[in-house]
Amino acid sequence: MGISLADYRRSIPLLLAFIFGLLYAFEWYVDIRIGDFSLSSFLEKEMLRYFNAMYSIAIGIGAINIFRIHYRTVSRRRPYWEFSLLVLILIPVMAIISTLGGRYAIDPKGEVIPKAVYDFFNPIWNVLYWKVMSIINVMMFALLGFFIISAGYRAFRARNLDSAILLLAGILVVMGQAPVNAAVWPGFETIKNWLMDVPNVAGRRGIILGAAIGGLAYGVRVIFAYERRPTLAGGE
Amino acid sequence: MSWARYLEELDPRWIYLLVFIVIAIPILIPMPSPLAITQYTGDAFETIENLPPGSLVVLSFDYSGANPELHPQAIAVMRHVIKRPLYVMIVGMWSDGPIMAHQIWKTIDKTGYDPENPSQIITKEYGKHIVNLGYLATTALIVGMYDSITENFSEDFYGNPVTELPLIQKFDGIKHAAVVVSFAAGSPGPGTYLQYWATQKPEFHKFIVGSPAVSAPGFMPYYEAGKAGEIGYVGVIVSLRGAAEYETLLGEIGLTGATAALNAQSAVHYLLVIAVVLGNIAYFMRKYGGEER
Amino acid sequence: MYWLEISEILLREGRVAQGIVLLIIAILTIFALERAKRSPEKITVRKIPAVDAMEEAVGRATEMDRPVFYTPGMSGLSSLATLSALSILGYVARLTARYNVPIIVANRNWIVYQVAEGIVKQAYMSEGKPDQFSPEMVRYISSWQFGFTAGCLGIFQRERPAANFYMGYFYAESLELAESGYRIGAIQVAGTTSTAQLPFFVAACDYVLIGEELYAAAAYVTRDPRILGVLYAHDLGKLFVIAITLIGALAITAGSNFVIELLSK
Repeated sequence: MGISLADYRRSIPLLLAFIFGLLYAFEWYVDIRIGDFSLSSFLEKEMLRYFNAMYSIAIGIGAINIFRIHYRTVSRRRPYWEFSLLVLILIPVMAIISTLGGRYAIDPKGEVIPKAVYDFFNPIWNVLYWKVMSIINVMMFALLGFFIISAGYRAFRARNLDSAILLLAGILVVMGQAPVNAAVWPGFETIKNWLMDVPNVAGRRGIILGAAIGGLAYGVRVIFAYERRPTLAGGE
Repeated sequence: MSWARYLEELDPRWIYLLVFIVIAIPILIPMPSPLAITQYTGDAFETIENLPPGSLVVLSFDYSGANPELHPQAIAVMRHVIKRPLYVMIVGMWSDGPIMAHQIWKTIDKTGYDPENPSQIITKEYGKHIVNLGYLATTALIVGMYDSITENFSEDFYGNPVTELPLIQKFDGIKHAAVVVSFAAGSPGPGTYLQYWATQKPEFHKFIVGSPAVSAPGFMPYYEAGKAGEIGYVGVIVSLRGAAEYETLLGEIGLTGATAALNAQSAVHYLLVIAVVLGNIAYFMRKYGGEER
Repeated sequence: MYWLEISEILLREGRVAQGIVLLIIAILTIFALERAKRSPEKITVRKIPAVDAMEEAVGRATEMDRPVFYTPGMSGLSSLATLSALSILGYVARLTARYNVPIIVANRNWIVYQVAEGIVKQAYMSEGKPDQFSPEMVRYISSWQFGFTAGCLGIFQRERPAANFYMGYFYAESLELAESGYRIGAIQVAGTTSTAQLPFFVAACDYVLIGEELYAAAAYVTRDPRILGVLYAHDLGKLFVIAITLIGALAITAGSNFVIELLSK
C-alpha cells in the first residue's frame, strides 16, 4: 500500500482513509453494540460532530481568502475594483447585522446583549435578507429561463441522425409539458409520458448505474491506496 | 447578409427580449387558460361547492413562507369558502402557516353569501364568520380540539380570548367541521388529521389536501380510498396547476396569479419550440443554400 | 484486565445482498487492478475525446493569452465527483503551469477550496515553476448556489477566460455557467455525474464527460499506468451488474421474482 513512517505526510492520510473507509463500509452492514456503545450511533452522531467542527473552522479560511483577493484588487486598482470594495464593506456589515439581529441571532432574547440591539437590527436584517438577498437569488434562478431559450435556439441543430432524434424528442416533450397542451392536442401528453417513462428512464438508469459502479471502484481504489489521491501534502 | 445567416447568428439579446415579452404579457393580462380540469381538483372544488349553508370548513396552513405552489392554492380555496355561505376556522401545524393565512385575510375580497341567510351577500367579519386559531404546537392540542376548542385554547392568533368569539361559541370543537383542507408542504401534514380526526367520525368529515407536485403521487392512494368512501382524501389540489384549475372553476381568473403563471409557462414552452425550429430552418438554408460558411 | 463483552453484533436487515454484491465488485476491482499491473498490453481502451480536448483547450487559452477557468463543482469533499474533479484539476494545473497561462479555480465549498489550493500549488511546483503560483488563482466564491454562480459570471465578464472546465457535481446553475461561457467565446469541457444537468452541458459545451467517464478521466489524466486497471475494473463491475439485470429480467418474464427477493435480503 505504500505506507511508511518516513513518508508520514502521505502515509497518515492514506492510513486514516483506509481505516475509516473500511469502518464506515463495515458499519453499513453490521452494527456492533458493547454495553451502551453502539458503533452506528458513534459513527453517525459523534464523528459527525467532529466533522461539523472542522467544517465550521474551515469556513473562516474561506472568508480570509475572499478578503485577500478583493483587498488586492482594491489596493492595486485593478479593473472593476469598485465592486471589490463593495464586497469588502458589505461582508462584515451583513455579518454583524446577522449576528446581532438575524434569524440565528446570537442573543435574540436579550439575556446578555441588550434587547434593544436585537430590536434595532432585526428589521434591517429582514429587509436585507427577504427583500434583497432572496429576491436576487430568485432573479438568478429566473435567468435560467432566458438561457434555456437561447441555448435551445443555438444548440439544437439536426446536424446528423443522432441530433435529429434528440431534437424531435425534445420538441415533443416540450409540447407535452406545456400546461395548455391538452387544448392543442391531447396526444402530446401521451407521447411525452412515454418518452419520459421509457427511453428517458432507461438512459438515466444506465448513467446512474455506470456512475455507481465507477464510484464503487473509485472507493475501492481510494481505500486500498491504489489511487494517487489529492491530499494536502500534494497529489502525487 | 442573407436572412438565414442573420437568423443563425442572431444576437441573443433579441431572444432575451422576446422571452421577456412572451412571459410578461400573460402575467400582466390574465386570460382564461384552456386547462383541462383534472378530476382530483374538480372533486375538491365540488366538495366545498356542495356543502350545505352554515357548514364549518377548517383550513390548515401547513407550509411556511410564500410557498409558490401552495400559497396560490390557499388563496383560491380561502376565496371559495368566503364566497360560499360557510364558516371558516384557520389552524396551522407549521408555525408560519397562520401567518400566511393572516397575509391572505388582509388583502382578500371578503364579500360572500351569509351563512345564516344564503341569498344575501355580506362582508364577512372576523370572529363571526372566520377565526384564526393559530399554530397547533402539540399533538395533544390536535386531539383535544376535536372535542372542545375552549378547553384547549385561551386565545386566537391575534390574542382575542376564544370564549368571546361568536364562531367558537357556535362551533366549539372540530367535531362540527364538515370539511378539513390541509395545504401541506411536507411533514407534519394531513396524515395527522386523518389519524386523529378522521377516525373519530369517518362518514361525517371530508378531507382535502393541497400538495406540491413532488408530494402528489404519495397522496393519490389516499385519494382513491377517499373516493371509495374509506378514510382518505376526497380531493387533491396539485401544485400551481391545481391552483389555476381551482381559480378557473371559481370563475375568478387572476385571483392567485396561478393561471397567468401557467399561461406564461405554456407561452414560453411554445416559444422554445418555435426558436428551435427557426434555428434549424436557418441552419439548413445556409447548409443547402450554397452559401459559404 | 477488562472484559469487553460484545453484547450484540447485528447484521442489518435488507443489506446482506448489498454487502455481497459490494464484496464481489470490490474483488473484481482488485483483480482488474492487479491484472493491469501484470500484463497491461492485454487491455485496450477507447479514447475519450473530452480528455484529449483538455490539452487543446489550454493550448487555445495560451494562444489567446487569456486565462483558464476551472470549477470542481458544487459538492463537498465527500462526493466522488468532486474528488475526480480535483484529480483532473491537478492535470489541468500542470498544463497551465507548463504553458504559462493563468488559471482561475472557483470553489463553492471552503474545504474543497483548500484542497484545490494545495493541488494547484503542487502542480506548479512539479512543473518547476513555484514562483508562478499565486494564491489568487484559487478562490472561494460563496456557499450560496446563486451567489457562486453570480461570482463565476462576474469572473467570465471581467477576466474573459478562453477555456472553461466544469467538472464535478452541479445543480441548476450548470446552464447559466455554460451559456455565459459560450457567450464570451470560451471553449468548454464539462464532466458531471448529475443526470439532471448532463443535458444542459451536452447542449452548451464543446466536450462532455458523461457519468462514469468523469471517474475514468480522473484516472486517465494522472498518466498512471494503473489507469488501464481502473477502466478494466469499471467494465468488469458493469458486466457483473448487466448479468444480474439480464437474469432478473428473464426470470421475471418467466414469472419468477427470485432475483428480486434475493437482492432484497
